[in-house]
Amino acid sequence: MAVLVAVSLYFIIPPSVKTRLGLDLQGGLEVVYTAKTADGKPPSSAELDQTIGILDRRVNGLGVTESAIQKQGTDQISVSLPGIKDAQQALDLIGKTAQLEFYKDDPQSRPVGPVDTKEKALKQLKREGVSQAEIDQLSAEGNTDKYALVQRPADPTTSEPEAWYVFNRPPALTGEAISGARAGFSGQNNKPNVLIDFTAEGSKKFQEVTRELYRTGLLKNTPQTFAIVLDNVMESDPMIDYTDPGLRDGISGGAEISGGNMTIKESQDLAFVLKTGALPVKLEPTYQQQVSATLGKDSLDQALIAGLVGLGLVLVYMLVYYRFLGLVADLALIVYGILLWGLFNAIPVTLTLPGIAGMILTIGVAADANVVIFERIKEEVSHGKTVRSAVNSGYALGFKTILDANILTMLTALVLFFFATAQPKGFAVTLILGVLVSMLTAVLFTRAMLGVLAGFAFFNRPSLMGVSAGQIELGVAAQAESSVAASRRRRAGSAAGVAAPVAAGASPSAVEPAPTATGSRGPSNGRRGTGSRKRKKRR
Amino acid sequence: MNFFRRLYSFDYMGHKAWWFTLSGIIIVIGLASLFIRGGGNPINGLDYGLEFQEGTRVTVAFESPPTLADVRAVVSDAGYPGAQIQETADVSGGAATGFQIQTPMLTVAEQAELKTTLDEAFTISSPGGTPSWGIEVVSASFGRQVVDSSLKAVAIALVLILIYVTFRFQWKYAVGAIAAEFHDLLIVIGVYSLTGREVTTATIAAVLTIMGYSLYDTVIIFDRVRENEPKLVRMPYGDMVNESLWETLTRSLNTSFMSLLPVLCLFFFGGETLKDFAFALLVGIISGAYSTIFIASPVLTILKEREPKYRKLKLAARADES
Repeated sequence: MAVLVAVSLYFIIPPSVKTRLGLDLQGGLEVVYTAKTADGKPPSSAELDQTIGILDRRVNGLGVTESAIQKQGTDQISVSLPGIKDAQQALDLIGKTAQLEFYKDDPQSRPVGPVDTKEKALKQLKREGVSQAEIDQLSAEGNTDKYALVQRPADPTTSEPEAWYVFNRPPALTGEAISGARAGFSGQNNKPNVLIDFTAEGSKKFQEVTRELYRTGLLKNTPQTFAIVLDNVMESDPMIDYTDPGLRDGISGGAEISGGNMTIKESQDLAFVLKTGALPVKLEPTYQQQVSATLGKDSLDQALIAGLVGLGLVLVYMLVYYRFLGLVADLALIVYGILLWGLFNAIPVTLTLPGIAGMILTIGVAADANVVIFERIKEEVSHGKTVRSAVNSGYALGFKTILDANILTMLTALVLFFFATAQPKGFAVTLILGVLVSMLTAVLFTRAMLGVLAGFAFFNRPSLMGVSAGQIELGVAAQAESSVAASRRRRAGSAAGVAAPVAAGASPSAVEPAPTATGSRGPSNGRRGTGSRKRKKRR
Repeated sequence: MNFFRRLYSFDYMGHKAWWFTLSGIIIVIGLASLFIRGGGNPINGLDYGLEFQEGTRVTVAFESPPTLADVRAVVSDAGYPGAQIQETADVSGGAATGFQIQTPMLTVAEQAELKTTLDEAFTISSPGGTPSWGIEVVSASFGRQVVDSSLKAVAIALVLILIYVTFRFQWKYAVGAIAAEFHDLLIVIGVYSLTGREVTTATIAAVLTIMGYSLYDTVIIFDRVRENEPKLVRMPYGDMVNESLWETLTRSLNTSFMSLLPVLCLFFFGGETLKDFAFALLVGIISGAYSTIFIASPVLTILKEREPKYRKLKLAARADES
């Protein structure tokens, strides 16, 4: 036991370093994303795992130390970033699909566009004979198996308005062709851009596409363009200059995204998401919580004050009510607190606000175990047993009750754990651990303490258990009385005048005294049950 | 003191009808409140927290706190005339008054815009370099999911309790325990409707906890009843349950009181989230202590007294008295 306490203390000190705080206590950001495939279907398990891997890379790139990325159910991912400084940047970057696609911008690949609104683009597609169901899906998700709806944002520098396109899927090239991306500056106008490197295969494909565009341009005598589309937004539409014979064999090596008015930061962010790879799914934030560090600290302080005052009150109450046994219980409670905290840090459990609430509630649960055992011991002592044997049998009988009661508490806590969303989960975890540790303390500490104490002569005094000599006498008398006799006496009710004082003494209420009960009673309030009730009526 | 003494000798089982009536009245008042506040639909009779709906809640503190009207004007100009705004004390340790602003669901870009607007208007306080800016965004699908899983959790918890108590005791005990559970659930719902307190995920967690924990004292008493059953064979069942109640009353009350102490501290000293937890726990623990004695035990007695053996004993006892 001492070893366990020592180990726990090792895990606790110093608390500021070794206790993990949830983001509601130290500030931070939590986002729950719902994942959908590009055409709006639920994702496969493999896709979800792949997404988590990519999110992990992105989060690490943000320099967050204690991030946690978890699958929730079949289509949700929760990302928690405690202590993060720039929540806005994180929100911008993490959930971006970063699906980069290259489309040839010619009539074969582009059934619609450019038109000036989304509605017009969809209407025009409808005229092409596309079913309404597919149009609806395209409108909601941006992609179907056959089409991609693409927006080109307005460009303030050239005052070109926004435009909408529909491209045929699959694109000429996808993000899979990319091996790397970096932010830089365009050689032409010195504006921020993003340079893309292709994989060997990607490079070959890109060269093929650009060569075709060059030839078409030459044939038609008009320059051809291709569209670089990121998450259904056209980032740039470079033109292949057919008059430049240097492009005869297509472009190899890399490509450049230099659309519109990228700021340096935007170009860096874009390079970052492209480098970490595209998500195989679309992520929609369904729940987001952002807590400021000051708010978190306030909550923590309040919770600690509440916990300490609560613990203090329970300690005082146990001491006042159970006297010497209360001292044992108080020590047990303190040991319980140390063990629980040590266990949390050892696992480690991230402590959240609901988690602290669970911990504070288990103070009560731990105290309950002592109450049940002590009451049982007192009962046994008042039945005339020696303190030592009362401790043994009282402990055994009491523990049985505690076990049943605690299992029921844990059952519901388990249900809570499996069904609850993030926050109450922390509550369930601390509750389950708390109940387990409280039983461990009851077995290892309370039991051992009582066992050792029972060996000392001074301890063998019923008064230490809070039982008076008079109570023992009455308790023994009650035990001696056969149950049949007791039953008859009760049934006899008012008729049993002579037996009344004994009946009063036999009252288990003397065994379970109210704090000031003396154990001796007059006949008038001594009789109970149906008998006494009926008698009062007759009076 | 006479009152306390009477607690240990009172005929609890003989007054079943009274307890059931009392609980019935309280529950009916709660249900009536649900119906009235919900305008005929009891489901709408509770104030659901953000987690159950769709929307955004911003918690923010400013350098020099503006008035509520000022904030409302700025938020309204920013394009959210329907936003619910209230002052809260729990931001930045009371140093600055905080505001809670509830708007429809905002995208990441809209959040940033609102933050800039508010910062320009009132300067968001930022002790230690990080702004006092908290935000919670919930989509409708998330809210539905919370409701679904909460209801499922309550149903499954009830079934598990039924199975466990049947397994460890007997199905008649289990029915008593479940009756007490329903009683506690209805009381908690009623109290939430009457007080108009917000139902949050914390509330649901607390209610589930109560479902397990409120059985603590029920188990204590049932344990004793089971122990006394073979010992006091000739006693009418109700008297035997009374006997068991008196014997274990101190520990039942003490265990409930012992958990009330820390929960009361949570309620008075904890922040908003903890207060939510604590309030539901508070109502649940009190109702649970009551329902152990006045619902679970009488229901068990009623079921047991239908058994031929105990029916005979009861009739014999009545015959004796008359």
